[in-house]
Amino acid sequence: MNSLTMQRRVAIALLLALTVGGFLILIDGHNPFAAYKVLFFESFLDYWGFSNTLVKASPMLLAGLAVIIPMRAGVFNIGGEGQIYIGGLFGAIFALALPDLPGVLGVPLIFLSAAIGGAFWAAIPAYLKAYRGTNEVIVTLLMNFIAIHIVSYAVAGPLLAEGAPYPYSDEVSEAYRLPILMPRSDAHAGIVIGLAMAIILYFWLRFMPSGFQLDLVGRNARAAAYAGVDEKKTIIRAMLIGGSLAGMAGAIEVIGLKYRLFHLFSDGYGYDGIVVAFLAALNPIVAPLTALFLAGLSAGAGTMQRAVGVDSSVIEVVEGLVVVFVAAALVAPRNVSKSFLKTLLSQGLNSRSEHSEKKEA
Amino acid sequence: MEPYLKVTSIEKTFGAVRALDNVNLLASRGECIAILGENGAGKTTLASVLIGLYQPDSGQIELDGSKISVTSPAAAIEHGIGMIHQHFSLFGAMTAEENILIGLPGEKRGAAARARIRQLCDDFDFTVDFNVPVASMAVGMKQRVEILKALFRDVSILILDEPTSVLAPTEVAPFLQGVRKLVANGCLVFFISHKLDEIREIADRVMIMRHGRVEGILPVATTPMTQMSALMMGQDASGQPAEKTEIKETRLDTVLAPKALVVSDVSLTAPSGAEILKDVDFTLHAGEILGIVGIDGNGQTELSEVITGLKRQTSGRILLGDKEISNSTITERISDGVGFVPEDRHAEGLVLSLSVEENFAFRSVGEDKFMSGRLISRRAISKIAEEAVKVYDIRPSNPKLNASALSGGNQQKIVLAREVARARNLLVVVQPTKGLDVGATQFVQDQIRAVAQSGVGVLYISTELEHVLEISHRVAVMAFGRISGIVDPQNTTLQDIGLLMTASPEEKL
Amino acid sequence: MFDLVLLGDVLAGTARLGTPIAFAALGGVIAERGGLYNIGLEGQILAGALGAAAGSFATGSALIGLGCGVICGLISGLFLGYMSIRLRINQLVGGIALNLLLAGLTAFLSRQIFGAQAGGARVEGFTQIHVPLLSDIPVLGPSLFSQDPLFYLLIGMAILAWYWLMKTPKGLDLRAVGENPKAADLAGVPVFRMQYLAIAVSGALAALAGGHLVLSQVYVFAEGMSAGKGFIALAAIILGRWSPLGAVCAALFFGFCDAVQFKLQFTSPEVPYQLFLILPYLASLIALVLLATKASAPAGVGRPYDREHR
Repeated sequence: MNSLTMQRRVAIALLLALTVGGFLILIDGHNPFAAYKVLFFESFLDYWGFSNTLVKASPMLLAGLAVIIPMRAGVFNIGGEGQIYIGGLFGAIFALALPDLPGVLGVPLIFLSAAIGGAFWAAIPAYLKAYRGTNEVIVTLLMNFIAIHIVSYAVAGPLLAEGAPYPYSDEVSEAYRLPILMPRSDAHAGIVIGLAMAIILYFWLRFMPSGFQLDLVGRNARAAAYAGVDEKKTIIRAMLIGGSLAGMAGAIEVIGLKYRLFHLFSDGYGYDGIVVAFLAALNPIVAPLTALFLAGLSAGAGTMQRAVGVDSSVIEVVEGLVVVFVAAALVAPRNVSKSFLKTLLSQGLNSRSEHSEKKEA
Repeated sequence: MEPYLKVTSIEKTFGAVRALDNVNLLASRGECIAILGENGAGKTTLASVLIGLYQPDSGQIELDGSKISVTSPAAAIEHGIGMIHQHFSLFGAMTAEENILIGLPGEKRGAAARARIRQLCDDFDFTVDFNVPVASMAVGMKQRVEILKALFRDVSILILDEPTSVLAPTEVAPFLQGVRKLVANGCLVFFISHKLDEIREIADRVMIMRHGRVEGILPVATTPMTQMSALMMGQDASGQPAEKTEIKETRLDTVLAPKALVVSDVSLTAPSGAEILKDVDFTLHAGEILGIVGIDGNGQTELSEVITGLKRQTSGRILLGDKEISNSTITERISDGVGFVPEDRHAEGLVLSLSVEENFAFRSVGEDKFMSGRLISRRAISKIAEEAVKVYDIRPSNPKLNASALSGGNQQKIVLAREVARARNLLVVVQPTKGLDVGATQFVQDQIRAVAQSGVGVLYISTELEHVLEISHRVAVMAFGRISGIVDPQNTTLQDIGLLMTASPEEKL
Repeated sequence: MFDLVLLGDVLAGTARLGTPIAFAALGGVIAERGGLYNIGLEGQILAGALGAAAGSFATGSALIGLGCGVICGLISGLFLGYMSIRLRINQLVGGIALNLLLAGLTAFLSRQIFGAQAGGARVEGFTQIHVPLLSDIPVLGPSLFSQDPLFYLLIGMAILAWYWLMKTPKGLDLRAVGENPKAADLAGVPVFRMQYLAIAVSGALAALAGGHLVLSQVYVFAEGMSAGKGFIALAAIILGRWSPLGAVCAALFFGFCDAVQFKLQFTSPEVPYQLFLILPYLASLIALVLLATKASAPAGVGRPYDREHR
């Protein structure tokens, strides 16, 4: 697929989604241009707004990378949410238990423990997938729920802060908190970690034999075997890396933003990661952009509602449409827009796929 | 008599490949037409068009005088066209009856239907066990279920895709008997095959296909076998090759040449206990091309995989020159100078979503020539690829394109160029000319000869017998996982090889 | 620890909490037996809930409301089908996109329909049906035989789905599509039509879950009221071994565990109630690993069928 036309298709998809959203804004009785102007100004150009965008983008980016790496090895990790929770739990336990250390030592150790937590949670579906052939989608999904309830138990039981009105842990000591990037705002250094990971992983996949071989497994497992790459070990490695990244996202939420472990502390970031990954076409270096875009949309939605009075749920619709249109643009190169109506009108339910000739003869 | 089926100017292309090129055909009920052709000649593609799996780019199909459009297999069934695929389309967990009735309107699935199935069994002398799931049936019985499925749908046209290739020798005769009965009942049967003796036995006419074109439709009774095979192979009717190939004149003195590969008593047993390879034992000398032939599925592919390290033998030893590689990994064998052109270039030999140049590197990306320090050097890869693209005349000549954008012949050139460059000691090639046109086939064979002349041992595994005989110094015949004989291609008749191919293990000893 | 009143409470809670999950799981089973993942159940529940609320709000009839909800579910199912079958978008991504889209769209539309004030408008719902005699049985009676009509509809649907899928020709065809679409296609099964049918029915069943939330539980539409039930249903499908009756039982087991943990929070705060929340997921996971070789997911699920793929 030619990358230039692909970029053009993605651009058209984004415009389409925004246009549909614009119509909804119109229905709501507001000027779509004014609303979008506020939305994008507030989330990317305004100091406070941009800090909010960064706060949301950090975990989204890491969760996106946690989907990208396994997917490049052909494994669908929809367990990012659970891995975030277990990573956050490990990170929080470690942060609360750690004796007084300087931050430069303590913070990396906390991240390490969170990564181990996330990797541990990913290791179970990875093992089942590689050695038992169990569907990883189903297992990671189930493990998300288990992780959420484990954290919920931990903060309501063993980790419950004294006198807390509802379930949360003690505060993490100040030394172990992530530094703030933008003074007086919440924007913490998490985004730097995410960016660093995105760059490292991009170079790893492109310039290191082990990364290249991981990619090979996802593209063509039999060809990878023919090249001497062990598929099972690669699956495990990819999932461990993915789990670590999601685990780090969990740590970011705990020591970067909330400074405590909360019940339900991740607001679906693991699932957002899937969207980030697909909009980035599984390219780690593009993931920061798509994470910022999605984070900006959801951070700006609230401001837009307050400033212009447009219902913020419009933005959720736009997000959903962005995924639908971009996925359609990435997957089905031809005959999509043209035949959509035609199919519905002329063939009804009995649609045929004879136009789709993604032939690799 | 008006023809029952009339096919006019059918065209079908897949990407750069023209799979069907102006195909025309007239056929009547009550005749059996064999479709003969090499792999990739377009036989199965034509069948897929007739049963609505593929939509042709242009051309039309007429049935009984009126134009029809076969937009889906369901539509084909409505028009009474059915097909039995080489790989059956049965549901293992379901019974024969369920399999036969799937897809039919509900009112046609009652007790009357069951009675009719049994009636059909009686009519055609079919034995089918109706009490077990299909998965536990023998191949012949599964095939009968497939045929019943078609008969039950009242087919007037039945396409059989290499139907005997899956059958045990004893099952073939009763099967052909059944086909004869079908034809006698007024069915138009297409019999896709590349077995000339079967065609002679069953077919009225033979349609010969080559590179998507119909080379001729001839009456079987009056056409000599040599003419059929000549048309199939793209030679003129006199039996002389259309394109003069260099006949190798050098007889290799194998006694003096050093050993390139020694395979000693290698056996491979599947987890199910089936013996895939049994005591395979041979020596390949440097500079020699050893052909390996056999009917598909008699262990040739597995032998190539054991030698190159994709599979591990259950017992036996493999020596590369003097070095034992019995337990080496694939990567170790690659660095020992073992080149391997696998059977399926799409599934194994190439990664179609990578660029041409990445395809030159993917199999051994950690090798020094692709690296600069500890990092992959994209520049080095480009340089090596550009060089090979030039030498092998790979087109289009842009190495940044995805491998999927190239035609089959050019894709195969990538695999060959890569593996030839690597093969310092041994080159294993499996079906290297499958689906290629004359020019590409010639090119591939020339390259393989050149490699051998440079002192590399070549193991040439193929089911395309003529090619193997032409290129090899010696030919080993495999049957039932054993080597049933090693012959000199100069002094052996096709008949002798045919006998060795079907030699049962008991006969051999 | 449990006395009979408590048991009755838990059983009633089981039916109440389990019914929406069961409807959605039933929908998921139909889709997956046809070879399609329906990750969009969560969004379809919301679509059904909004449709039900709006329909009932406009007409004052719960039944018409339910019909409107089902229509919304059908449409959302067909939309997902278009993405999965025709466009061949990755089925998980398509489902997640649908969830995002419907979460936003239902919230937006509900504010357009009911106004922005919190709580929205209260709509007409179903009342409980007391089955004569049976509902007088102590303990079991009130919990099983004094349910709202949708619980009985669920039981009916479960049996109907089981019968249709396992006993009728069309059901056999659908299962064949889910196992091996190519073989089914060659046998003359209209693969794409069957898949659209399955995904539409799947959406409609998920919408019934939304209808239950609105018309039998809270009588009002609330944003995000599906609260993860669509995802829990996906787990129930697994625990129920891809069988309609199994999935409904599994969903009721999820409901039971939920009901127990609710009770525990009040009666025995010292017992970690999360154990009961984890239990059904753990059971699903163990079932998945231990029974992997027996009846398992349809072989073709999740992979789009491309007729001309070679």
